[in-house]
Amino acid sequence: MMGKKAESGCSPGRAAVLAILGLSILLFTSMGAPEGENGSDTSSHPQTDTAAAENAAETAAKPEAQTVYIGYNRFLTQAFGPGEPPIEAIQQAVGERYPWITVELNIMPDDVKGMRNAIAIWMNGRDGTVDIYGMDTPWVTEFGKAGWALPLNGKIPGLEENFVAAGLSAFSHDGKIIGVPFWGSVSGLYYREDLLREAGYDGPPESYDEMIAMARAVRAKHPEITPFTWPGAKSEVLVMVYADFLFGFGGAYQESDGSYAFDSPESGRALEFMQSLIEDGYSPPEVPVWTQQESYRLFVEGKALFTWNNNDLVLWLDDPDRSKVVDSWGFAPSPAQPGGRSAAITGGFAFAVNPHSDVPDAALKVMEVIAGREVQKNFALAWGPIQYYQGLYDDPEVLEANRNADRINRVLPFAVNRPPAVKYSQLSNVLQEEVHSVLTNRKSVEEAQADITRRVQGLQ
Amino acid sequence: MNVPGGWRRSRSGPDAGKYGAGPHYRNEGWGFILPAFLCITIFYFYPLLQSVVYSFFQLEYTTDWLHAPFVGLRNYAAVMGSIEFWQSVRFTLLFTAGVVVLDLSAGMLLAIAAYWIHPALRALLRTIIIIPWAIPRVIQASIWRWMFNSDVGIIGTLLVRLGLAAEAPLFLADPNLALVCVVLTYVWKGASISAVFLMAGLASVPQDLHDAARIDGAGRLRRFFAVTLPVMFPTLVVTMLFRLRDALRVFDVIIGLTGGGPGNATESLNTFAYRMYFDFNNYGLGSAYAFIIFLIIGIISIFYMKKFLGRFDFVR
Repeated sequence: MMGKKAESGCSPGRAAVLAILGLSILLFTSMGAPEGENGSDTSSHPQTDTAAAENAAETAAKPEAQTVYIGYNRFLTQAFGPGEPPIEAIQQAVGERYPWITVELNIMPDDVKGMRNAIAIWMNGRDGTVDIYGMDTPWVTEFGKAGWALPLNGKIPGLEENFVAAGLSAFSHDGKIIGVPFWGSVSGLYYREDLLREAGYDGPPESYDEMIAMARAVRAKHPEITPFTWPGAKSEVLVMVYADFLFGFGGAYQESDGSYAFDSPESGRALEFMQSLIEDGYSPPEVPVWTQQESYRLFVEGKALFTWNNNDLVLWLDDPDRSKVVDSWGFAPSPAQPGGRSAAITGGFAFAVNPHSDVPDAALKVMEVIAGREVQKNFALAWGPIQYYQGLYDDPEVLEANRNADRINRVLPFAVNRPPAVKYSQLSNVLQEEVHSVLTNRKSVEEAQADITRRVQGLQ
Repeated sequence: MNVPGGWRRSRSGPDAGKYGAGPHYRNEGWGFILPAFLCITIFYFYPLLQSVVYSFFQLEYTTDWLHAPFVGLRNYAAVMGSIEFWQSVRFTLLFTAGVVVLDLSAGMLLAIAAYWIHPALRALLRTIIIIPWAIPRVIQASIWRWMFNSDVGIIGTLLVRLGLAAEAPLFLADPNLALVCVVLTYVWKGASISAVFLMAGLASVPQDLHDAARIDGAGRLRRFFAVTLPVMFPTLVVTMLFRLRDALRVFDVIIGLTGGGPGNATESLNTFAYRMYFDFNNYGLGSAYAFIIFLIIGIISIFYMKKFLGRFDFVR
């Protein structure tokens, strides 16, 4: 076309300028502008020199338009509080800061297992279908080891300063941060302040021995009160409960050489204590069939002294329509025996960057926005606790939207991840079966510990 | 080739040669069976074969499938050496025995009741029998899960009210009770299916045989064992085969009712393979489990068919 214009009577100088301009435009359009926009327009509608020059200058100044796909389930399009649906908040914040980046949601299955399988298929195929995806806490080890998440250290300004360390460590593998948390949960011990005060105690138990002493004291006056309820049904939650007891009795997931330590004496004592709670009547015999919801029923009805659960209850235990323990409860990290460690077992999701993304720089810019206060605050308003952004729960607007959320602050520093494993679902299944076998007296503690050790080999 | 009489007539009658020679017609026959053959090969045998191939590789969801390591029979050795696998075999066989006996007994009682009941109530009873069959197993498992609930379940409450138990038993937390619960839940639905089959069998018993036996002085019980049961024996055997095969493959009731618990006390062959394949994403080992389960069920079915079905002499 340029050649044709040059032949049809243009001066050589003018033809050369036009040719250079045309080449420049072609160069810019070939660098990524969508076909049919800049590229086709300029070639099909010859413009004046000035217009072409302006167009070229404008194109040179504006970075190339890019789309970043976030893989998460449909909940990202929903708000459960006064905030915006998170995907809209992210799109808006990214649009304001990096106008050339468009964020789209690739809706994944609601089911966490389905979500993990989809991600696994993409990663195995080195596929860039999603640039950023939601990563569940238990996947961290396997994803980190497989190299399925881009390390974020030093790539997102202020990440380590702005987030609570426990939140980042939940999404770190081998010293590398591989996820930016946006929603989480911690477990803890709910207790009845009024009953404990009446029995002469001014705070929650610090050890399990003290917990039993408190239970005896309260029961002496209130025999109808069930001392301690917790979910013992065979499920993932049982792994969290066991982990709480394990740390409380001084145990750990792993030995110093990295091998699993589920057969340690501390683990044995934790299992014996769990079993004895039921056998000695401190916990009801129904515990081994109780799900999370079933286990807190007695506490919410004012018929239990302690209950184990995650932070969900904090938000509505003071709602008189749903609870009979309004203003008479507290939330604390689980007790620990001398030599043990109070723990609050974490759950939750972070966003991770696909190492096979076609637009890694744009994806990191979106992650930078997600890791910013504005988006994190919106998560707190729309989805509620827990976000790990420093000081977020001092914000009056956030506190207004998340009643009693400040009570979670004292539990957060005790946050502990679930057991690390490359094959977490398999490890979790083994622990569920063996711990449940102890609770239902199918196996002795020693048998269960031996079976755990035998079955978890090779899962790290 | 076994062909209808019309073909034979066409060879010798006025239409002889119209369809060409025999071999040509035989080719047309292949054409007719080809779609079914292809469907069965593609959708049945190919996945089976693929599964067998997978079982020789170390295939996990983190594996690069194009370079999956070949492990020979190692997956099969892992299956055979797994204590948990043999526990699931033991549970599945116990469960199957319980289910088949109770299923057929209850089904037979229901069928007889539906057959001998006053004609005005017959339709109502048949409808009642059919209802459990119409409820999906997972929903059924949820219903029974609540009924077995120790806090609010009707069964525990009834036992306490009737003075048969001091407190509601922990049905799903006790390994033995959990087995009973799973069997009863399964039979509740299975008996209705058996009853439908057996009702058809009952209807096939000729009335004149009953009349003749009655004239010979046989009472109801005698007539049942000497006339009804022998005549409907083929129906009984086929029903039993179906129930046996279904019970060996139990899955949904276990998942919905006990989740394989307490511990892994009610883990069946199928739930075990499912976990390996879909929960743990261990496709190589899961395929080995699946193929071994296929072999177990296949061997039991073939043994059963040879033992019973081989004795039938079909009327030609």
